[in-house]
Amino acid sequence: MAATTPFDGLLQDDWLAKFTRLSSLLLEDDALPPWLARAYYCTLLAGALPPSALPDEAATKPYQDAIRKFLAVTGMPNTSNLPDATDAVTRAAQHLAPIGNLSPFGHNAPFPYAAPFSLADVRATLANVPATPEALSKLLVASPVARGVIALWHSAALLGDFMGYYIKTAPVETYASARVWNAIGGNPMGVTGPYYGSWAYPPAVPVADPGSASPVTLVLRRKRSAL
Amino acid sequence: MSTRPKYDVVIAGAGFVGSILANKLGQAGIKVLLLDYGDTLYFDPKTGADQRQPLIDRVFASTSHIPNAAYWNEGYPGPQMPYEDNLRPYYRGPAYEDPNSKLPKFQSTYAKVIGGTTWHWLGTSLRYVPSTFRERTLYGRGADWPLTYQDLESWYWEAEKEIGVSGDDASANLLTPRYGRPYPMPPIVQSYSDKRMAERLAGMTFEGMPVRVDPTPQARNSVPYQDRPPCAGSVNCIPLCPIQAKYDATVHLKRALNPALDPANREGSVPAELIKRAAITKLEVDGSGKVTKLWYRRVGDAKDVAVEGKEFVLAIHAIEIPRILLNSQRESGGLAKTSGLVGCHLMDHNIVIAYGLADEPLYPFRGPLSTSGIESLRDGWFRRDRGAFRVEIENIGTQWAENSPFGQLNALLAKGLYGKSLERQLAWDVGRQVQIDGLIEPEGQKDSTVTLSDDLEPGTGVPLPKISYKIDDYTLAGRVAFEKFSTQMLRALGCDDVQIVADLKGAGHLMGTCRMGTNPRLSVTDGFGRTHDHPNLWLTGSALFPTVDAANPTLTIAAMTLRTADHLVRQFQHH
Repeated sequence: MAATTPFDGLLQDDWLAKFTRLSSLLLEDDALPPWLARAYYCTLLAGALPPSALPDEAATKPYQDAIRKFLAVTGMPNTSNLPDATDAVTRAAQHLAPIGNLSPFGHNAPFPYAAPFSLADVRATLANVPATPEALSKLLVASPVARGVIALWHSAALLGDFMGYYIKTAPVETYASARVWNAIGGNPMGVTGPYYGSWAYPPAVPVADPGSASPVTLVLRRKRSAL
Repeated sequence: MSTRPKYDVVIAGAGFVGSILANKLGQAGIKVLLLDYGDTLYFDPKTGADQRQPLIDRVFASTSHIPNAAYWNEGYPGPQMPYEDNLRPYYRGPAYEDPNSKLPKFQSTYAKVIGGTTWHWLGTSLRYVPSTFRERTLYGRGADWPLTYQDLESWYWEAEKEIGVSGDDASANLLTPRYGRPYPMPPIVQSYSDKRMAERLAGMTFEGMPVRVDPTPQARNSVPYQDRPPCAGSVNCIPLCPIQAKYDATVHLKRALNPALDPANREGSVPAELIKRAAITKLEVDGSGKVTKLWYRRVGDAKDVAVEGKEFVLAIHAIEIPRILLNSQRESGGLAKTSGLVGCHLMDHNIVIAYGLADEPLYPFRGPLSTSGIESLRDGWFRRDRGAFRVEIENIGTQWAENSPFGQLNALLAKGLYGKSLERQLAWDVGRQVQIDGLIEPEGQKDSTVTLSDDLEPGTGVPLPKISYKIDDYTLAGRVAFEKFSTQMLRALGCDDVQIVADLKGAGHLMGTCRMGTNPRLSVTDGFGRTHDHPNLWLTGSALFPTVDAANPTLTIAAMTLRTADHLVRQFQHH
């Protein structure tokens, strides 16, 4: 294979900006933390590499180096109390470029540790970010890349089609930021919980059937009219 | 043998049983050697400081939230501990080797790490009901134990204090008499969904028995205990409690390796020694039947090494114990062979999962994985005809059945939902989830076996276990009853569509295979775990259980272990 830029030139700030733009639209949130965007974007690209792309350690190194450099711009929070703050970036780069995308459990079963899209698909999706809600909804249904983008923010992982099992996890520092937990009022599994007995009462924000006029939406409406 | 053995007791396995035994024997001044497959302690033996952060990071990086997500076989040349659907690297037999096989699989695994499988146990600490100990006499099933509930009762109480159980005295007393002896900690507060269920199921009966949603006795702190914090609700008992609010065997291993860390340290206590990365290969026996040596191989080394001791204990669970017994003097049929029952009666609690969507939000994914269960259906005359079941009520929605919440997220994305409408729909779909797991009581079958395969384990040369697992009719009859019950229960919670997972799951409960009893022709060991054939060879844990109730086995293992430790200490004091 001829020497190419790692990730076909997609590991660049202008492409990250497009990724962040699409993320903001899909999450309806304009204040996304830059370090998370960087980490998830790397995960998206790493997941899009075909399993044959990195057959050995030598082939992996340019990819690891590129990811390390890219992540170092914002850095990663040192959640594991590593001796050196840059260790988190190094560890993330190692995590995102495993040799041959082999299952960490070592068995040879055809477990899908690569996402069902390619770097070319990522390029095509990010190059044409739609503007209308209808178009966004259509894009989600049609594009595994778009679903991958929103899945990353919600679960800190790329999800497989079968029951949403993880196919590639983002760096460990992003784990607690997965938005799904906040959405359902739960605690990120494995992140030290709030306090003893917190589970005995309903959470502060009750959930309601989105199909009916719920107390939550009533409150929101009232606030809006007050403004 | 002219020299005196350096060790009084050689214990294979620094897991739950091995660690408690080593601690108790060391406190009595008995010199113990522990051997374990694992490589890392994850605590500082000098200070006792916990060092589990690398394990937490592994959980976060793992692509699957399975029990072994954090536990790699350090130093082991073969593959990591497997998924339940790919056990081929560990177990042999047609069920695992033939991809088209319809034979039932023994799906439970274990952790080959120092501290053993308590790293990722749930913490459920129920006693067995008294009739379980006399199941043959009362119900004509299995075999009677060589001891009764009354023999074990005080040890149950010791075990509850030893591992730190939070429990509700009144409800536990209904099934398992406590004679006024309280749990060391108040019960873990029930989850909001437990309390809603208790309210909505009030007055319900099943086959004439009351249906009660009781707080589960669990080895999880409700108050500070043993210098460990109360549970914070990290929703991760399996695979790993991030703050050690849940008991694991490192509590006792620290004390064994450094007696000064034991709050009840006695004068004359001696520290246990630990050999890491040691794979047990076989035992050697002299002409009188006494075990003289235990052979092991340091993972990666070319040959075996022997250690000598006065007493030998196998604390390596119900698959490894028969494997090592059968591999010792293999040419003449293995050790402890008089009864011919080594490796027979392999059992697990087969689990049936039932789930649905309630008609109100129950707010899962908060608190420990389970805080309540239905124990009131665990005993009765029906046990003549079908296995009993206990109901574990999940606080994590349908995570096991449907990979919640990621299964739901995936489904909503495929429909084109995004932004706030996605989050609201997700909250509504996940927030109402109910999942209950039925642990079905099995009846041990002689032809449900662990034997030796022709394939050798890489790095140790010991044959891999060949497993022929039977799901017996008693279990299947219990399953029918649970399905009937779960439908009744979930309907009462407003679930229009009750789903029952077709496949039986493993509970991680490795039981049977070296049944204890009074008759050497019908059992492998006596009531203390001493083999009938070899006076200084002791077997431990749920491998010994002739019958197993519908309840999780760990507290009974702890009680039996404390009882055997006491017995061994007395034996050393007499000689």
